[in-house]
Amino acid sequence: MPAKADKSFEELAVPHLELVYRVARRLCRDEHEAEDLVQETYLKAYKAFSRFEMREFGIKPWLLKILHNTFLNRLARERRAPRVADHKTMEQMHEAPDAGSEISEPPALDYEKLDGEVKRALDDLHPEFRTVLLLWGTMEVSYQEIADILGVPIGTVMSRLHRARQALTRALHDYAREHRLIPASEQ
Amino acid sequence: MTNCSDMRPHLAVYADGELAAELRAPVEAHLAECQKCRTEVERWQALRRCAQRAVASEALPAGLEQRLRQRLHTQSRTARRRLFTFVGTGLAAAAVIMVALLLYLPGGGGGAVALAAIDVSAEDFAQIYRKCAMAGHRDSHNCRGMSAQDATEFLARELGFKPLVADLSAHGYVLEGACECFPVRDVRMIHVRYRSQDTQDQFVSLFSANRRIRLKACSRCRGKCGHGQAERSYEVAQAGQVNVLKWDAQRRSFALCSQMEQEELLELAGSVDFARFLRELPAYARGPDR
Repeated sequence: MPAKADKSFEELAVPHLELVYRVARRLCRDEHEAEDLVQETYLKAYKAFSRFEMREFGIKPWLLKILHNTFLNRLARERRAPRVADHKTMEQMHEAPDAGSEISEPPALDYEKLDGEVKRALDDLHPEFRTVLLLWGTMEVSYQEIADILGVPIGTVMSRLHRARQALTRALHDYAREHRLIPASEQ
Repeated sequence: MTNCSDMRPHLAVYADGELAAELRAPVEAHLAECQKCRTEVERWQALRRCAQRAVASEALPAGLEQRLRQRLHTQSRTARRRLFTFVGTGLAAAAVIMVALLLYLPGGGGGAVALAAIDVSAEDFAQIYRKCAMAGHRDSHNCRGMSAQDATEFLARELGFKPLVADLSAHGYVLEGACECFPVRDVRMIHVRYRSQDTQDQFVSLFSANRRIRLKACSRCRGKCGHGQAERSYEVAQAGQVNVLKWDAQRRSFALCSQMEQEELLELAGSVDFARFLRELPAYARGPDR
């Protein structure tokens, strides 16, 4: 196996398997597809390892970057038609204000009881926004690392994150209102 | 007390611990006095925890780590085995070449064939690869974003001979451009360059010459050339970290050039639908060997 600074690919990369799988799982929505994606990601990383340099952030963002790009390639290869929900979410996002303009505060509801609904709302996001929200949700990568993974400026990350959070809070708020989980005074 | 509306754009970023140092003090001063904004920060943090639970709730499938390690080991063994085959085949090929050279020496009876090819070194290929593929030198033919088929037709019209433009998307490589520049005189050489979509910093150049060339100081190996095709003979050589894989067909030469390992390059060449390329050659009125 190729080695980097006396550490093999396996020693460096496999400890991040759980994180990579978790992100893959929410990207794919299917356990088997997620496992395929993870294995493809690791094999690509393994083949490219001799050219990988341990940069400032180490191997984790690099693996997540390969995961992200492999996922997008798969989408392109399979020529999946965009889902109706994706269009809807994108339209909602374009209607949402940009970062820096007036920001609505998150609705007052108990997020601790909405985990299932959060998963559904995440699944409905366009991949571009879902990925940024998933990486943010891992609490293991900074804005700058997310920018590095996605290959976009940090300002774009903040803007996408803002829109994705808005879409998520809106979806949760709609759910909470439908199920009378928030007081009428705050609706 | 500062205005809540001034603070609001910063609260979500503050909740993430990502606010710039110079903004942190005024935001914290405001939060110390404003219950409403404190609540908002807590809500953003709660939302992130919620997203974290949604991501973290996915348990690793049983045996995935083991299956992955097994695949990595298999990959490692395959690479080693290919390398041994490579070296072995190279030695055998060297013996054949020696015999052939003896036959082609003056008085040997076949000199014309050997002398017809132009000598090109791996460094000649590497030079173009570094300049055009890696450093993004200006393309002489803009075919960015075209399909392999469209780029082939476009370049064939421009050049007067048909270049090989492979669809490498299955390997995650996209066509970035094409350039006709080569340091060796007496050969027209077009190269199309591809960039990896996965890592963005890996490149492949595919060269098509209008005549046959000979790769200096090369070894030989055999490998597939397209699905269901018989194995063909390849020449391989290295210049620094750049590997060159060259093959001939119909009095012309083609080569793949990249920083990837030789066995990976061989695998890539094996996926090119070269048979179709050769089948379609007559479609170009001016022919391949103008």
